[in-house]
Amino acid sequence: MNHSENLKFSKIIGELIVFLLNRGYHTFHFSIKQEAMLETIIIRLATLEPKDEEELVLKMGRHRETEIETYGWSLLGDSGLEIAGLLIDSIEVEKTDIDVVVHLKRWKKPL
Amino acid sequence: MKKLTQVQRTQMFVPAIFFLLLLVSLFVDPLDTLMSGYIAILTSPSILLTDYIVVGGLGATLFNVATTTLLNLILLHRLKIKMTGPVFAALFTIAGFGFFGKNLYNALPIYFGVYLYSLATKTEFRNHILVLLFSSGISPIVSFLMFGIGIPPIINVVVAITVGIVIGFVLPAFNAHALRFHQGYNLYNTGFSMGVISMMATAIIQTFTPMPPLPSAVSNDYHVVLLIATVVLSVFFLVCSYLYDPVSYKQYGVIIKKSGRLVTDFVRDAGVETTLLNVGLMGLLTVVLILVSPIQINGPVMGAILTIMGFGAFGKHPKNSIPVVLGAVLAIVLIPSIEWTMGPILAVLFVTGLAPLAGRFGFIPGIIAGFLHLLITSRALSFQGGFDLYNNGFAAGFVAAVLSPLFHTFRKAKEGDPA
Repeated sequence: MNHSENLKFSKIIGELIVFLLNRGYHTFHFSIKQEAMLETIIIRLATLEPKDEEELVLKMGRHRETEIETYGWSLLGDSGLEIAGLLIDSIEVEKTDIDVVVHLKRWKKPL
Repeated sequence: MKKLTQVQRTQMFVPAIFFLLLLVSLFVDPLDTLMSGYIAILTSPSILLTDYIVVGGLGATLFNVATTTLLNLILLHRLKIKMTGPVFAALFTIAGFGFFGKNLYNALPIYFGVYLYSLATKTEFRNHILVLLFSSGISPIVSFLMFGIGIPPIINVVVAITVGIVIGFVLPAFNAHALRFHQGYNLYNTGFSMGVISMMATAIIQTFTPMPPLPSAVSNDYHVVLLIATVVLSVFFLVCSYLYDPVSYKQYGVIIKKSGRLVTDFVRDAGVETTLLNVGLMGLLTVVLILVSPIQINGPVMGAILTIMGFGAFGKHPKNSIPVVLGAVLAIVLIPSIEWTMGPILAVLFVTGLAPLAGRFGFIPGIIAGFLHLLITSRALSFQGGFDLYNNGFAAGFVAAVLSPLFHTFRKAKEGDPA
């Protein structure tokens, strides 16, 4: 990833951390998986309340719009998840017996 | 028959509006009058405040509005850009400023500069479409250098096109930085960044030649006609909204609850039908404001009306717009030295660019923002020299940058607030 992309990822993650902290989650793990055409932010938490999951999916699952991303991404970092959601192609929430894993996918070439 | 999506419907009827306007413009004046008027518009220096109705007559102005907007629609079609809220806002802003400063060719060098920027940064050209569309607000600099200060023929064309390209190249990068200055509370962000560039351009030009006085003649001759046209257009949007979805108003709460801070796309958040309802309501609210105040509709005022309606898809709604307008009106009413002249009138309309401040912080902060905005717009114009048609966007950038941190200090912080 180039510097600009790294900056976007760091700011998206920053917004997600604020979202989680504001809702009382203090233990979570972030990682970034890189593939040839796809980059995925993976959040691993012990639990995720249904209302928080619903809000997260609503705000981050708004589908990516590259024109708006280019215009407004510099506001990322202190704008809530509203703008961060515009930089994500899709969101998947996977629940296992021991934890909840959220996958936020961002294609290198937007869909 | 395959059912059209909401966005496809909007994609179709927006060009239809401007095709219809093109046809209408051909019958307003005799053809030779229209053509001579149109040539006068194309060769006008176009800096603020050039009312194209004064320069070329109503027919030629409508022809200019239609052709300029259609050119941008063709570009959007070629780039396969969807009709989102910001794109809708940009198109209606272009149409509006087709009444006073934008014409068919004067934005093209700037557009080419944005294209070169996309090549230089190896980014897709279509990703810069919003900056590109709004960048036409500084297009008078091209007309001015070509026709405004007597540079010899051919050299004037080379200078004007070169300067336009350089500005277009600089703008996308600068625009992103400017956004952080006011934290997205000024809807006319590109107006702010272009104001800064215009200020620098004015200083450079003044080093070589004195700037001529800014034009100020406007034509109120078509007040009634343009008022009726505004009502018809507003009702058209309301009817479209109803026909697409008779219960579109049920989603209106989604729009009203938004602060409107950049980047709020009402089409995405509430759907096309409800957005059209908001666009129509914003148009009718503007009509009410005009009817209860001494405002007469001329080219620049018509530009402001169309901009307000356009931003009905991109951040403005009655709840966040009324407080800032009231603040601006209060400034005129309470301060004896300010009268209902063109500068303050335009500020009363364009102050809606600060609507997100009222949307986020409430009614009284909105009034304070509107009041302050009216006081500094005239200073902003002398500062930036008149090349930036979005002078109110330039002024609003400063108002938002100063007031938003202050309002944050006195209100409980919530998610999405700047640190």
